[in-house]
Amino acid sequence: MASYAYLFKYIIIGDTGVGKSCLLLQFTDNRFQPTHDLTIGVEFGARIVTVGNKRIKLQIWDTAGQESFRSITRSYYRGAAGALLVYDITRRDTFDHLATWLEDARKYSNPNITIMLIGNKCDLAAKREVSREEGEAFAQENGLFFIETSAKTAANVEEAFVNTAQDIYDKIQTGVLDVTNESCGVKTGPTQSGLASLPSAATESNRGCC
Amino acid sequence: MDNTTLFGRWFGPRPAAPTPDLHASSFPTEEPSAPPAAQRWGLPSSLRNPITQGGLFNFTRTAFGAIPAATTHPPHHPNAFASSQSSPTSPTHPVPIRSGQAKPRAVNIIDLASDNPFHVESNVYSSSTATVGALTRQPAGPNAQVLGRQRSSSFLDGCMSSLNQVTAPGPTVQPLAQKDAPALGHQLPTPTSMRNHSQETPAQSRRVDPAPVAFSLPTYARGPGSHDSHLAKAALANDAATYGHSRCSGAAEPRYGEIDDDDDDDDEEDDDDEVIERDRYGFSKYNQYQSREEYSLFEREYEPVLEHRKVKWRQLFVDAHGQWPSRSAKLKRYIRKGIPAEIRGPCWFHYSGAARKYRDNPNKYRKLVQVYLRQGRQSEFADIIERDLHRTFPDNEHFQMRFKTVHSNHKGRQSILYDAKALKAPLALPDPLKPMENDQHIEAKQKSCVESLRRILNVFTLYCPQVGYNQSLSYIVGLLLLFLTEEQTFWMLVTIVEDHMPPGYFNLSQEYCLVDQEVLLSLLETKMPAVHRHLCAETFGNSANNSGASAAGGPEILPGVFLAMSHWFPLLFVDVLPIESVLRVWDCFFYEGSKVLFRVALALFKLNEMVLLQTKDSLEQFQLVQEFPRKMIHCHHLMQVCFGRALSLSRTDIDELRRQHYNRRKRRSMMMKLHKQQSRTPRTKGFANWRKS
Repeated sequence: MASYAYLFKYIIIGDTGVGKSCLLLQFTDNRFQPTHDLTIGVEFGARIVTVGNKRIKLQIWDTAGQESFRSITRSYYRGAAGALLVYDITRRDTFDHLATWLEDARKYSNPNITIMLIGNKCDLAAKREVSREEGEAFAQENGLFFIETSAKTAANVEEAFVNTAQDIYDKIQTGVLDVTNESCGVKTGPTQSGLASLPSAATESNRGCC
Repeated sequence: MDNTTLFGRWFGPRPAAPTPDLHASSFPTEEPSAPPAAQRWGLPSSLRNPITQGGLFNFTRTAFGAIPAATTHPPHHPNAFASSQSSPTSPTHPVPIRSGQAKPRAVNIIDLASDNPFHVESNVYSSSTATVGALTRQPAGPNAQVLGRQRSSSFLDGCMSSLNQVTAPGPTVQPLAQKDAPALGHQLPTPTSMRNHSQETPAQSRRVDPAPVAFSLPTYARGPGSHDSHLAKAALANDAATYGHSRCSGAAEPRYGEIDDDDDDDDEEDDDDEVIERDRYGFSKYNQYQSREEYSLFEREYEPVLEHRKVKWRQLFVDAHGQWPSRSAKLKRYIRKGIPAEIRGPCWFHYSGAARKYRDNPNKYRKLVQVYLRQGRQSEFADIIERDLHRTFPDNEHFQMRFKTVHSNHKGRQSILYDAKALKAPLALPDPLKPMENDQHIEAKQKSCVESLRRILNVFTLYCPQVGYNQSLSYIVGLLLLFLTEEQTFWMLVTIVEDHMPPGYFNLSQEYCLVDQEVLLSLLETKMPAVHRHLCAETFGNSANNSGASAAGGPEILPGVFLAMSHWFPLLFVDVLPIESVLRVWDCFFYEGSKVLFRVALALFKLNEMVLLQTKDSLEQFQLVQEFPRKMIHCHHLMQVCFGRALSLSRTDIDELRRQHYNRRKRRSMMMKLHKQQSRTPRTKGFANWRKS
């Protein structure tokens, strides 16, 4: 098993059909499926990135967008360190619903969660309904990071995930996030020093508190 | 209706190949004019899902080999055998139907008004009785021949026995077939004759509609040991050319895999360069979770089981004197061992109780469709349904909405361009109220499963506004459509939502979903304490147990890994388990109710118990829980574990657990509200409020 210094938990939220699963697939598998299966419940992906010379494993929960599933998925917001709040730049309604999503995320997650606002499908410039400025303004108002991505062309996808990880990492460095408290969505990896993962060490470090 | 018709429909070969008109005249989307008299009872032949016919047909062919397609015998012919003799079809080759050829009209119109339980319309019912008659007399073996003649008055036994004989072709088959074939009019090819027949494909396919068709490798083309891809493809081409019209995607559809390289828009990765091997339902046989070898192994092991079950089921119906076998321990056992694919749809429909609803509400669906068509896209769910249509089984050939447009390139060769615009803008789909324009291929597709899916989901929002549209229903309806007609599927959906799942399961709050997850957790605690401890330890720490967590209140009663299973039940395991396994689960689900879902979930844990116990963190657990159901290809084994004594559950137990957990949840949320109130108001006031309440 590849070693990593930290494990960050992410959730991807947003309206149905904005491209959440495609973003995840692009990030973890570097591919794009024009007809991705409908996500029901939650899907899961993981990838290791490097931030500040540390290997960080991202454990990403891709959630269903339909409102009915929110009651299920939002129970698990709490254990996330990062949230990717996605809307579709070609559909105004997905942008209009951001406030509800944000409210949910603030309500159910831990207070130190890093939220990245993502305007997806930026390859479809001709169909754009939400300008970049609007997105930026919304992010600024609510203290979110902002980026426009395209899961299809892979533009900024890597950045969206890595920049979020960078912010979480900074929070750990500054002591805002406590790595011993698992409810923050952050854990230390099985081996800090890169040694082969001894079963006992791995067990100990993974069995966090709470 | 006599047994002849019934069994002719069920176990007979596929229906006579319909013309493309079948698709065009599907549900009254555009013209709400009164249907012809022959169709007025609500489910005319035009309503039958052509896909289902194609899909089942694949299976039928697995059992029977190539079967003559065009037989124009009158429906309900008392002596179909006689008519089959006079059929001018070739004794050795299936007769392909020409695209313009009139479809044998109203092969089997069933009078739904009757009380006969067999008056259930289904794709399988639409099999030509006459062809079955021919089949009955197929010289499959000495026994079959004798039986077929002895019981010409009762087709039931005859066709069943011939079914059994034919599906197990042996050395005795060939000589008899050669001897009797000319007299019988049709020959049921043996594997050998099928091969020869396959090799003659090019000439054969030239005789039919030259329009290229979508290909998939039917199951029959690659039996155990048959790895000759050339042969398989030839057989395939023949199949497609002969029967392509009966499939939704088959009508004049271009070849798969010829993608214009010059097209800039076509930048999506396509692995269609080679023909995708598909199972009888139109799903790809292998994927990232199961390799081709694993699937072949499974097929080799499972085929004899299926054959054996078919024999047993045949006897069951014989014993029941042509009526639906009544509910009994024996029937339950049979269903647990799997319903044969030919009668799966009707069995579900009958035993789930949907047939009763259907009879009790004549024309209801039709009326609702009219309402839906009148109101168009006004419904709040219309847009989301529209967006989900092409995301439901995108890999299944019957649901592929990859709007292909056909172009002829400079070489004069037809090729497909994936219309990227259509993909990017699903909302720009043609209005269901208006007939499609331009491209007849797209039009043909629109008359397919996808269109039925759209109508059913939209109509259901009208029928059941408190549920409206829940995305998991899209998958459920999608799979049902592969087995049943549109109207039947609708009533199945209604039955699932109203009767089989707890009330409010698919509602917005989905509270019962969470209740069921808690029930599953507590069952896990009883049945597999080690797994339960292991999963909970990760989430709540070593010391905390279930009750401790629940005392804390809030949703964290469920271990994190349960999030990865939250869709198991709402989806009824569709898209969770491999398709054959889902079907086996559904067989039992429609007979026994929702407790089956718990048993299946427990069986999944049981089968992966050791691996689960070795996981070191929630990350691994997540990965595992997401993947292991998809690898459960050996459905028979899964069901054996599922119905083993260790996992035995009674319906009353489940009901009681559901009630308990529902009340607990209510109490917990009340406590949480109270807690919030207290934290907002001064302590004493809060306490006073609590006392008052």
